[in-house]
Amino acid sequence: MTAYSDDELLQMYREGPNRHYAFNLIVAQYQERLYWHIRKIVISHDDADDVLQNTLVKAWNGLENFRSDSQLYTWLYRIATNESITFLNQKRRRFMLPIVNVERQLSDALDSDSMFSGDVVQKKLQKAILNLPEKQRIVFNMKYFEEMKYEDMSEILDTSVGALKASYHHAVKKIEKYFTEHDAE
Amino acid sequence: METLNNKTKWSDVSKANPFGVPEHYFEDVSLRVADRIASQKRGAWWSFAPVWQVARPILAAAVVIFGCFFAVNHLTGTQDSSQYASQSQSAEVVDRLLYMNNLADAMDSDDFFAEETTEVTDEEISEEEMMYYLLNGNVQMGDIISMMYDAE
Repeated sequence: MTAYSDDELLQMYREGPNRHYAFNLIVAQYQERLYWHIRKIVISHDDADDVLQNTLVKAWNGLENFRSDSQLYTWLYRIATNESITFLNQKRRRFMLPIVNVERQLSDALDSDSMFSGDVVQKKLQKAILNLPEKQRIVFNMKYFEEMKYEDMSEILDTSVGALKASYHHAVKKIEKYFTEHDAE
Repeated sequence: METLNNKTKWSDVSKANPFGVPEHYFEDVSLRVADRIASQKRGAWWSFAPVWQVARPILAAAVVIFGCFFAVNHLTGTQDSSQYASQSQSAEVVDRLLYMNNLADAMDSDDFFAEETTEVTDEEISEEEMMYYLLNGNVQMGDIISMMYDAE
């Protein structure tokens, strides 16, 4: 598939005869990145699929009013992140779970995930990440796995670059600690 | 930096994505999203469905009652209405004739025009009264004097 720049995609959406076609191109271009971003937050594939669809439907509804103050991809990531956090909050409310139990539930989902193809150490790292507070977890995943720039993360998470660096640093320390404590596993 | 012990370094863990998705999952994401968007549009219409379900029997009952009322009124009131129509027509003709008759009478009499005129008397007006009238009518003294000269 031909890769288009954000500007080209937006121009096609705004000026082209078929807005649906332009939106399909946007979906095709970003669906995988958004899915993996969401999947690392909600863990289960079915939940990630739901959240991804919600994200893209919201993007469709909001694209008409999208002004190019931010990049298209940071805007999409912001919707995806908010939708994922909202999803977890709804889960907490629905089952009246405290925060810790949701993380436990995510950890159990990881254990029972038939589509997890990683080795033991990879699972251990994922569990260590799930032990982090929600925002730290998102920051760690974006920086470590997605290798995103702090400036883009700042735009997506609406947090200063300094705060993000500090958050990533704390996350790394906690993961190190987790690995030390669970050395025998 | 991330060396923890001799056994495991978390930073050595492969960055490869350990999660998987069902086969061909990404091939139809855009189709399913398009379907969601389409159902969202349909949802705007279907959201009225419960209201319509409640309104429908009420509307049907209203139509039946109105129909019955109209039928009964139409059957019992046909003769009366035609009579009333002819009566009102003849009353209108009579009124018009009376009006024209009154108009002709009024034109013949002086009273008709008298309503539109002011009363004129033959009494004489004194000079003082005239002066008083002119001064109260905001006429300048100079004009009054010149009028007096003209009159002479």
